[in-house]
Amino acid sequence: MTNLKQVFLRGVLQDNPVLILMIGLCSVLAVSVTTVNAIGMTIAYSFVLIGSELTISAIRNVIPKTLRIPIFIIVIGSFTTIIQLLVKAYSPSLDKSLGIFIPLIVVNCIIIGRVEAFSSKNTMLASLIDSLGMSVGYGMVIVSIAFIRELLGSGTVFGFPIFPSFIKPMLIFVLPPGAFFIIGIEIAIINAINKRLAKNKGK
Amino acid sequence: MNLLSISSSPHIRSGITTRNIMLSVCAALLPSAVIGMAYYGWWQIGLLLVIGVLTAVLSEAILQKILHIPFSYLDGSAALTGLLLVLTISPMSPWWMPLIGSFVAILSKQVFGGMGQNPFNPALIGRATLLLSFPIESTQWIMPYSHVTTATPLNLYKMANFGSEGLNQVVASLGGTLQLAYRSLLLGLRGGSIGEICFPAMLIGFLFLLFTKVVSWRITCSYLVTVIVLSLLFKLDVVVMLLSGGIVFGAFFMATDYVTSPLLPKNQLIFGFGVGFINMIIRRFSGMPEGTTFAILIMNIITPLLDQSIKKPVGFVQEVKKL
Repeated sequence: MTNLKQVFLRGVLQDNPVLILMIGLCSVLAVSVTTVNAIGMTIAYSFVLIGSELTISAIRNVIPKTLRIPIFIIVIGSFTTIIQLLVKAYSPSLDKSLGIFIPLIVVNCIIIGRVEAFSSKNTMLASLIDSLGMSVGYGMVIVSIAFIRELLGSGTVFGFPIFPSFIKPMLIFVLPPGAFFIIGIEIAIINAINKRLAKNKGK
Repeated sequence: MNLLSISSSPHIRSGITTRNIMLSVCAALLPSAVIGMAYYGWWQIGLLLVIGVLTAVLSEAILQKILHIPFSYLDGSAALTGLLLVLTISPMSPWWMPLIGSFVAILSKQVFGGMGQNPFNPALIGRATLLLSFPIESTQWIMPYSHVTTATPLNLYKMANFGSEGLNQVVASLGGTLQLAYRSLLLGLRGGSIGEICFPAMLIGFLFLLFTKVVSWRITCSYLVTVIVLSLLFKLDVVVMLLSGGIVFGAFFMATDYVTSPLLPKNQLIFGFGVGFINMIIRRFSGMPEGTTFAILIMNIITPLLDQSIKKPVGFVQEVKKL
């Protein structure tokens, strides 16, 4: 049981896909302009990650070693197509604002990385926990970045203006450099947390 | 490789300290600052200068405390950054712009480890942040004395796609005849940032730095020569290109920053060429009328690469083996 808890926490903290492994940065930096977009992206991303990890884990014993990458891609691609069609059907506005980044989930390094490194070797339960941890880790980062960028860059929270009109939002935070500033700061914070955790463990 | 060879005492003590260098650059900027105040109003510009410098020194002290960097906020480098920043913003800036700009400038230096570690010119980072964050407030230009809202000569020139029509508009906005326009450009009677307008004032400051050997001529010269050559190549008016916008200020005071420019003479020439080249490409082909800030920042990134060509320690003398 503690093992599963560790698997989950690893996705959030020690092996946070975005801040520690630093993969899948592309969608994090591009989509985190508004909080709503970020939440939509997290849902789409989690669906694909959880679905792919579970499926791969279920069929891990029948996948031939030499053919595993194409099979991974087919599974991930199927789930991405499903979520893309769902978003298109039920939330056209979200589909418009996320644009190319939903189909790009197929080539997201986090998903193929987790499938290759974890679920092709572990049980379905462990894979489920791992994918949940990774999704929480990803969602935490992208939503917090989006929240800060939206607040500082356009002065709104979930689209509602909250500052009085004489405070001018700093546009740079909705521009690409703003995303890099915030992610840099978050990387610093998570490194500090992990350092402290490791220190406590050593004692 | 041993980069720094330390011999035993006695050592020669030179008078060059960080504080001396910073203070002489501040002194060199004084004429430009005074002209800026005289042109745009003593109180208004004076206030911006005080806010910029004070914020820079204060944020340096606070950030050094937070980041556990040894205190050096009174060595003049922070004050210089604040001064440089205010001299590169619009004279119409509201009071909170130097506040934010100075803080960002110092932050961009301290997060990399403080003085000497910063890859980018701090003042220019502050200016770029302001320009990108508050595009409207950052690009309101006024004429000296009359305070009439105006477009910068570069903007007029660019709007007309750099044709003879654009040159005519520039001339019309600056006195009517070509001669008067050149005179206005030389004296800084045009729209522009606080410190970048008056060429003679900047030249006095730069010559002072040159004669006290604080800066070398290489970066400045290769920068300006590149701009002149490219202006001729692109068939642009050389005088308008040189004397409007921030090229002279950038070449004199920004590109020559010690920390963010290369060490070796040959690399300094390459650095100056790169800045001039990128600057002219931005002016001629991009959506923005002026690109000095971004040209210098881009070349700042390349500085460490240029300095990798250093194969032996600077100033190293091979010991002569006695038999």
